[in-house]
Amino acid sequence: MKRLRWFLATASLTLCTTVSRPAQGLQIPEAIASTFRTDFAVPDAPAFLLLDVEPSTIVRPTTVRELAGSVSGFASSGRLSLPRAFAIEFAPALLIGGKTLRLDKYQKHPTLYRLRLSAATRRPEDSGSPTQIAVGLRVALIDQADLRTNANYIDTVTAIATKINDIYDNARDRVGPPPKPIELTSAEEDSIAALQAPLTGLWENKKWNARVLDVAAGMVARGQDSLGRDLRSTQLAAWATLGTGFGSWGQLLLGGKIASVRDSVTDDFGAKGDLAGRFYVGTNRYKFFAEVGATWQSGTDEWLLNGGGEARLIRGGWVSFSAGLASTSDRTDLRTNLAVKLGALGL
Amino acid sequence: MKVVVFNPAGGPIIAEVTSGQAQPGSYTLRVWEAHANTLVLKERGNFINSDDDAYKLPLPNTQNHERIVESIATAVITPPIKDYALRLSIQQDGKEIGFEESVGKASSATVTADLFVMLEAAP
Repeated sequence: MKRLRWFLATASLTLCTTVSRPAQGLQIPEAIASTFRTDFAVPDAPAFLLLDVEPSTIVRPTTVRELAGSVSGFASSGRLSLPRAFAIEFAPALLIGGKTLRLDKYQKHPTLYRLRLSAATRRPEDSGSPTQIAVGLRVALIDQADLRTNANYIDTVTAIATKINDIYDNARDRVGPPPKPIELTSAEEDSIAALQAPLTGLWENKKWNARVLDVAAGMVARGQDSLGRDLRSTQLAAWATLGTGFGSWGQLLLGGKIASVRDSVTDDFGAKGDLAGRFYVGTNRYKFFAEVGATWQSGTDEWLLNGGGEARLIRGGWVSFSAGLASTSDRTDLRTNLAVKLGALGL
Repeated sequence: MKVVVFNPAGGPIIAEVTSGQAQPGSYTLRVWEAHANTLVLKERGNFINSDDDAYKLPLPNTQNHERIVESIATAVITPPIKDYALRLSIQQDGKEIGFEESVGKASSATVTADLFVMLEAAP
């Protein structure tokens, strides 16, 4: 457990170091800032799903973020261990051009900015087994949870920003021209806090389950040894997932996947298809799901009954768990997963 | 205070306010008279569209010497992207001749930046 904690701390620190940039310029100190803990869930990247680290085959849609990471595979031989699977997903257009990306440009080309690439690796339980790597891409064709393309949201928050700006503007009138710093009165600070307050509720409760449609594709390669040498492709896959909300408490996901999978015995590729439905109940911060799925493959069909949940960690990031029964004509297996997922937020 | 040197014989000086990371928000732009507590120009705007966020400073250019251009800008941090980039850009003859910016990752629902530069005529 000590090594596990050390790893998690190191992984978090590494992600933060990579993506955080110190504020420059003359930002007004946020002494009056309200706590900002809202965050959207970090779903598994397509590359991660290709490595079968989760029982499910659904690519869960989500609003684009610049960078996200996941670690999984904490359980080995019934004990907790260092995670065996790692994934990273990023939006190249946001990472490269985000600093100068204006709102209207994003609104004109949302598909470009919602395109995400992912890479994942899964190391073997023992040093003699082959390592797998996977790459994937996905794009959100519909994302009504994306606040940047929601005209009502933009108008509402722009009006709030204008009121906040007016408070600073009046304070500037009071103190005179720069470089004298703007100093707010306690009443002004309270007014700003009151104006900020509705924002987090607006994001968290109403948008986590909005209508979405993601499409994705990916490829898996397997090395001949634990170092991943002599990689050979073992699977090509494509997904589509449609999500729709029920009130502010539920979300139904319907997903399908088609794949061409290499047979480990004959070395030939064969077709494989999956269909699954998943229903979430809860809030943005805490939710549970139940899922049923079916897999059709030459010779072996499989049924999946799966359930689990996810919760937002106090300092950021998400923890998710799932357990399910996968049943074929001759056997039934228990499949479990525990994962920690990090957005590029700085834990 | 950052100093931006302009060409007094060049074209109009333009001040533009932008918000990166596609974050919505609003701003005010002020031009302060040199060494005085009076305003030469005051404009208000928002980041809904970027076509109307560039403002020409008064002509002739020489009178802008030692004036202060200031923008108080507020970005509403819209998840899941929590980066922000508020920028005051000074341009002349199609080129950026100076800027001030506030760039970072927000820990609050809104970020307000006070960005200002002093204009100085090239000798």
